[in-house]
This record gives sequence, C-alpha cells and structure tokens, in this order.
Amino acid sequence: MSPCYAPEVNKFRCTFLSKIKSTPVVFICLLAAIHSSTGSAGEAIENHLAIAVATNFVSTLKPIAQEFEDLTNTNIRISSGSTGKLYTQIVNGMQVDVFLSGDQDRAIRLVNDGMAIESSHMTYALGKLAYWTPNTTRKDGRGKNIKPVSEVDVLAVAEPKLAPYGLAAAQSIAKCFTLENSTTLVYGENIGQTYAFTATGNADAGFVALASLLTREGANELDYVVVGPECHDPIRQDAVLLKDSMHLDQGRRFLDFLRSVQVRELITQSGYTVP
Amino acid sequence: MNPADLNAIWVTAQLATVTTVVLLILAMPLAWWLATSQRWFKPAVEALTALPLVLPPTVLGFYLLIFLSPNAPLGGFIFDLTDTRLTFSFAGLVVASTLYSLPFMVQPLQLSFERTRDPYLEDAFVLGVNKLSAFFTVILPQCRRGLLTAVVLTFAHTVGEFGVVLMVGGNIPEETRVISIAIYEHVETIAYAKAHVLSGALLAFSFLTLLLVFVLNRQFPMRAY
Repeated sequence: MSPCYAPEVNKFRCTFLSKIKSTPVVFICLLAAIHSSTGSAGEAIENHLAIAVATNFVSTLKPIAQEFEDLTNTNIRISSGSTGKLYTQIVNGMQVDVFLSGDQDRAIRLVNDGMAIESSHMTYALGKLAYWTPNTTRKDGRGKNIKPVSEVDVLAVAEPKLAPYGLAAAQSIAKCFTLENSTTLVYGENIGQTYAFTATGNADAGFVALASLLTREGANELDYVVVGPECHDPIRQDAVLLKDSMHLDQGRRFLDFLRSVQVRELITQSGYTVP
Repeated sequence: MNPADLNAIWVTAQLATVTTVVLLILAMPLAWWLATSQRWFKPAVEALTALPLVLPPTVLGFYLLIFLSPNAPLGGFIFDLTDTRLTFSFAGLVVASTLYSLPFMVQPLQLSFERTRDPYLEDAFVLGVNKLSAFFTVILPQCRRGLLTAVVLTFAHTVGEFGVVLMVGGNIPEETRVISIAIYEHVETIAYAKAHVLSGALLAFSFLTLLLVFVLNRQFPMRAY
C-alpha cells in the first residue's frame, strides 16, 4: 500500500522531497560512478547465456560460470531465486536459456509444460543435508560440539512444501532423529533463511545445506554432522534447457560443461554429490 | 477456503488489530511531541520515525533477527526476563509490525496536530481544563480525520506486511503464518487457485479500506479556519 493515498502523508512527501534539492546532481554522479566501474570491457563478447539458478547453488555456480565465460568467450547473466519463484517467472515469460532447479520437480514440470527440452534434462548435483548447532560449547565423545536434537528448544528447518532441503529434513527427523514434544519447529522459506535463523542464534539448531556450511567464514567441522543419505530421499537438483532459448548451442555446451570431470570435482568440493 | 488459510486470515486480523492499538498508544505522545517541539534534535527524531517508509523490510527483518536473538544482549535480556523469544512468535511479529508501521500512524497524527487551532486550547486552559483532558476534549476531536487516516492506514499496512514477517516469523501455523506468507507459499508451490482466492480477498479488502478513508474524508470535510 502506498502512503500517497493519505493527504497527510502526501504532504509529508512533498516537503521531504523539496528539501533534497540537489537530488539530480547526486543521481548523475552516482550513475557516472557506476558506469566507470563496470563499463570497461576488454575484447568483444561473442556469445550470451542467461542462467536461472536456485539460490542454494549460486555461489557454486559463479566460479563455474566464470570458467565457462573464459573458455568460450561467453557473457553469462545469472538470475538467482527460489526454485518456485524462478519456475513461475519462466512460465510467465522470463527469458532464460538454462534453468538450474533446486529440485527435480520443477525441472520435470517445465518439460511436461512443453517449455523445456526433454533430452536436456539432467541431474547436476545432489544436495547434502547437515545438522548444525553453531552456538553450543557442548562436546560429544568424538570431539564435536554437537547438541543432540532431543535437547534443542527451537529447531530451524526449511519449509518442506517449499524447499527440497526442508522435505529432506522432515524425512530425516522422522527416520533418524528423535524429537521431543517440547521442541518448536520454525520454518525458513528457503534453506538460506533457515541458515540465517540458526546462525543468528534465534534457533538453537538447524537442518541446513552442507554447501552453506562449507562456504561460511571461519568454517569448522566441529559444530555440524552430515545427515546420512539413508535418512532421506536424494535431494536431486536438475537442469533443463528452455525451448525458447536463442542460444541453444551455447546452452548445450554449458550443460556438457557441468558434466565435465573438473566441474563435477568442484561441485563435490562445494558440499554436493554428483550423479 | 481451507482451514489453514482461514487461520492465516485470523492471525493477520489479530496482528493488525493489536499492532494498531499498540501504535495508537505509543504514537500519540510521539506525534504530539513532534508537532509541538522546538528542540534542535526534532528533525533527527522525525527522520528516525520515517525510516520504515524508505528502508526495505529486509533491512528491518535482518536487524530484528540479529538484535532479538537470545544470544544478543537485547534479545537475551528479554529471554531471561520473560522466557519468550521475540523471533518466531506472535509477540515478535507485534514488535516488528509496530516498528514497520510506525510512520503510518505518526505522520497523519503529527500533521493534523500541527493544524489544530491554538485558540481553542487557550480557551480550554483559561477555563481551567488540565492538559491531558484538554488534549482529549479539544485537540483530538479536531484531529478525527488524521486519527481515522492513521488508524486505517496502520491497520491496512500491517495486513499488507510481508518482508519483515517472512524474515522473523518462521511461518508457524496459527502463530506467525499471515495471509501474505500463505499467498507466497501457494505461489511457490504452484497452487495458483488458492493463491487467487487469498489475493483477490486481500485486493478487495485493501480497496474497500481506502474507499472507506476517502468516503469518510468527504463526510467530515476539513473546516476552513
């Protein structure tokens, strides 16, 4: 709702704006600064590729995309967001060439919708779930500072309906962990937010992506355990090439690149497994 | 409409009502002070009050997450004192909404306080009315338009809140799951039919609310003093 509807607030806006008389000058300076910092391109770029990627994978994708850009003289534009949001945007006309979904479902849906090329459909990574208790000093027998799930007051998980890691967490809790009735479950809308709930201490523990734990500053191996793959269904992250893409060849080359040994190595180091 | 969505509507209505009442109590003295004070730091207080208009909700949500955490001094103090966490709870949403909707309550009130005519107040003082009752009997009736605008905008703005709740709410059914979060979840899970029902309801509600403000503003025109 905009405050413009209230005459009282409108008056405030007018007086507020009239006080900033030098706005245009500031704005132009700002534009110039932005331009000078980004406007220096070296050689001419021949190829373009637009990638939509699930947020959990974006930090892993960046070095991969950089490598691909250098190898093939391509300019890659990355849009990241939650898988569900990206799916909705793509269905409603967002122009992207490659979709790196955070789950398997949306990729298959795009194929079934007739929007993605079936033969391009592939799993590029499998997520690893970790149980993380960052703010405990408790030691267990193996030298780790882990608070057992049964002693946790507030436990953060991603919303199972929204995030594949959330579904995996729910399955793991049911299968491999014992939860007390007194434990409050709080739901992040995605795995990154679940991480934030836990990192800030608002939740005592959280089921987060191993990939997030490996990229954090001051990473240590003592405050989390990786949840075994037997506790939940595989968190498959699938990629597809969109039919409307203007850069189909380049898109195929990129998907091949994702399957290459060096990229699979990088994906593994980032906290995933590869098919 | 399914029970979960009805619940979300109920939580939202409660949140907006509580927030509006809390803000009415807190913002009235603040707005009065802003309308009458000549202190040198008044512009700074005005700027602080207006911050939620320009700050993205993510900034407020992020800071609330940091400061209300049981590990932080403020959140820890509240936690020790009351044994409740202000994140992931209805009480926490009230705190967040109160901050977020503050300018929507303060500014209309402040502007109408500034427009009240002093002679009436002087008459009241001459007649021996004390300050507080002069405020309620002389000032407030003159400011009913501003008051109405403030209350309606605060209520509606809280109903429309999304970003802050998303960051500090934790999406707990019957506690922090409000309409906007429910819609978000429906869109994300491709349940467009459910999203349509709630979105349409919210659209109609918002329009009717604003219509009410404008119709009532015509009913009680400003007197030309």
